[in-house]
Amino acid sequence: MLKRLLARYAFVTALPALAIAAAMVVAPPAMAQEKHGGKVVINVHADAPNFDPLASTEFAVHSRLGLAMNRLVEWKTGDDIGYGQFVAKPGLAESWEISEDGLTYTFKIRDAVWQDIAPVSGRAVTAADVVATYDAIIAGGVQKGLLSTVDAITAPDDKTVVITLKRPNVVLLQNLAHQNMWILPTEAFDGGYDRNVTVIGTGPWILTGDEAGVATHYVRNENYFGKDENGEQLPYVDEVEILPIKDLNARIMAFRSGQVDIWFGPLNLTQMEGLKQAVPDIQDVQTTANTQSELYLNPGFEPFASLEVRQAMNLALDRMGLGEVVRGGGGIGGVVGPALNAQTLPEEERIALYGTPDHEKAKALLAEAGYPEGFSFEFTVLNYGEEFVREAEWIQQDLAEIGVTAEIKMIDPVAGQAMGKEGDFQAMFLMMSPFAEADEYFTSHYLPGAVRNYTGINDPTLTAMIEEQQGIVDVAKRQEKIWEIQRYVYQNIQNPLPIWAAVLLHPAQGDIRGWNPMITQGFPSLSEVWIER
Amino acid sequence: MIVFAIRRAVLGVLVLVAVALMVFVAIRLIPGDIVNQQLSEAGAVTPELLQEKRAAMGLDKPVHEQFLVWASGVVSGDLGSSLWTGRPVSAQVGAALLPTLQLSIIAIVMGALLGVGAGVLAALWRGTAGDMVLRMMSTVFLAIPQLWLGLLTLTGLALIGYYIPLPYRSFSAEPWANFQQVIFPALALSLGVAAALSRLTRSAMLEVTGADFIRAARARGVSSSGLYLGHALKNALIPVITLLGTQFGNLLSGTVIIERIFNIPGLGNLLFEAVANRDYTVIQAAVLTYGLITIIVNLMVDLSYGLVDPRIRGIRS
Repeated sequence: MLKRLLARYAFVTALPALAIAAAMVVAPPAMAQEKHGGKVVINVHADAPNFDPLASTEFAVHSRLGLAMNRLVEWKTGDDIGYGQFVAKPGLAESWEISEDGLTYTFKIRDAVWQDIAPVSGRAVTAADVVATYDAIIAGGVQKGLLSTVDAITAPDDKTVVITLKRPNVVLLQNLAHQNMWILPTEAFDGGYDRNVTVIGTGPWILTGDEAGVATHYVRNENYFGKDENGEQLPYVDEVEILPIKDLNARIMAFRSGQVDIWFGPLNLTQMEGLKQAVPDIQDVQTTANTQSELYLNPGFEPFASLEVRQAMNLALDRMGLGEVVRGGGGIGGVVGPALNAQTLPEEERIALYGTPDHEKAKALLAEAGYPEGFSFEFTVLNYGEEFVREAEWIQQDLAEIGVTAEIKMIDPVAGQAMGKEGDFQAMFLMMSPFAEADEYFTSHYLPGAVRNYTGINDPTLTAMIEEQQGIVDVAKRQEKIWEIQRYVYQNIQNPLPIWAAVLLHPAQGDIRGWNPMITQGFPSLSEVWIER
Repeated sequence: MIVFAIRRAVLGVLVLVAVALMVFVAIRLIPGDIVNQQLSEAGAVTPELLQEKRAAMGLDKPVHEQFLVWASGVVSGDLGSSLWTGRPVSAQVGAALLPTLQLSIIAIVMGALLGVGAGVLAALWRGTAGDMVLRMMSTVFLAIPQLWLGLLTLTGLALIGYYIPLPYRSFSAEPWANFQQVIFPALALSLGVAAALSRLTRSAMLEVTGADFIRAARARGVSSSGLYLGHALKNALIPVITLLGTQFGNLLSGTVIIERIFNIPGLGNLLFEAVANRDYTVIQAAVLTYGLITIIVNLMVDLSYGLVDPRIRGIRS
């Protein structure tokens, strides 16, 4: 069975490569065709409440801002870059240097201009803009945690920004490239304009209109600094429209009718099959989701205070069966989610730790912990949709096999997150945030007081390990430490229990070229998307 | 008549106050708030930041204090700002109201025409196969939830290769596109209304056609069409109008789902989003607006009785 499953996953993993290969065969040579022009329509299943990047981490905001704005450091994209793979690429910083002690980062700001919108009106980007943005974030932006190791940010001249750290932090570059870290002009912070409603960036497109429930519209920024590998001006596409289609069926109909070119948001494999039948030349781009389901066991509820019980729960769960039957593909969860394939434990090891159920051993552990007859608990399930609930029901049945009765209590996600923060639950099943770095998993789940530390974990050894990995400059050594932390969590913490990361589908119409979805928000590859005519 | 209208209006205001209070308290009893939602995707948020944001929005104050602040604003015409967008609530509700009113009015008119028409026909064809078909259809459409009817409409259109154009366009901007975007959700909303009305119209018509004054009219040689439309239908309309009023309330609640399915940026869609995001100020304003519309429609229904039946007009005078 395991072999069959592995074969199946190998096939699923190979699909994007096959799709790319097929596209390369049918597409004409890139240089032979005029790539510029046309309009791309994307569906995003929510309206942007406002355009202030410091006010919320809402995906609907940041996915829209990405078309018009830049970060100091960007995510490289391309056929050879994986969905969750961070490769730093110059953004508004054209280059940077890191001091030997890892405490000083010096960025050279590129020659770029702001979009020609009052009051900034196309002036040059300066180091002062970068400093003003980061100062505002540190003062009260929702992203301030990403700069928690920063000691000072200065601008010795118009084109240089120096960031000094309190302690080494090797994820700083990735933090600066984080999906919420857009650089704004100084006027955004000195009352020059209202950043809630006005978007002034340096990005490939200029936001020209946003009507809630209708559309967000962009036109090409002629002064964008980006060039492709042949030195051609980016972006290729003249216009982009984002449609906030909130109902899944309406989104499916819009894609089938060709009114949407690129799909963004939830879609399962069954629905994808339906789309394939209706749109035969559809591009079936698949990745492993950047989120995973997790089962939190509150030690405030007596049985879950026992490590043996948590281990027993882990051994009860047939995650591979769940993945195959409920999700039809994806990847087994880990302390670090499988979308971060360079940082999560190797798949074989995750299967060994989390995907090899043993009910006899689980029962023995329960007996050892003083629960030979099992126990009952209230199983709070956040309602993330039909398949997620089926995952919960699968877990419920697995636990019943070892004599543990889970009484499912459905709740909406916002209410569930609030209950999580209050510790007001016995066990809670939820979907984790889309993190792009192992450090985000560690710091949010396991540091005392952290925002996702719903079970109150306070383990000094683990805390020290997490802080240590932040300072390891050598990539291979840091990788080892990241794995060591994950193994430590498995051995000593077992909370929350990672479950499964589903397949994430990013279909596009057949005439769309250069579409490479990435884990970070803001559609970083969109400037290199073009339409085949 | 004027005294009657004023009395009903005062009662309506009291109902609105009760609705406002109930919604204000109920939405705060649900766990989770806007701050959780705004920062839900973040891994780097500190508990202190959550507290700061709550304090900035006044959510750290006791509920009664929050209510007094909000209610005094409403009395002075200020519905406050959306916690989610930061924009004035009145502007958001105002923009969303127009598509909802357009949809609801078209739906209720369609529902009334279809329902009364089918009811009259069923009464005329009493005991025939046509009567049975119409009665069966009304039972089916009464039983089908609007959500399912909406999805069925969307899927049915796709099956015949027709797709509603996107994005939404207002009637003033693009009338033809707007017509295509509104007519199908209006139809989905209207069928339930039509079903209820047709059953009531049929039974009211049958009751009236047996009355003495109808026999007298027939004896005077009034034609069949004149008899049914001029005499019977007019007298059967009072219960139908009453039902129309209550159906309008049901239809408004249906817009919450239908607008979402058909991607119409109306009040229902706004309310749905606001509840999901715990945007208290928008929820309160949207529910108040729905309440106000319902009260106005009911008032109109009450007043219309007098127009249809002179006896009622006489009593009220």
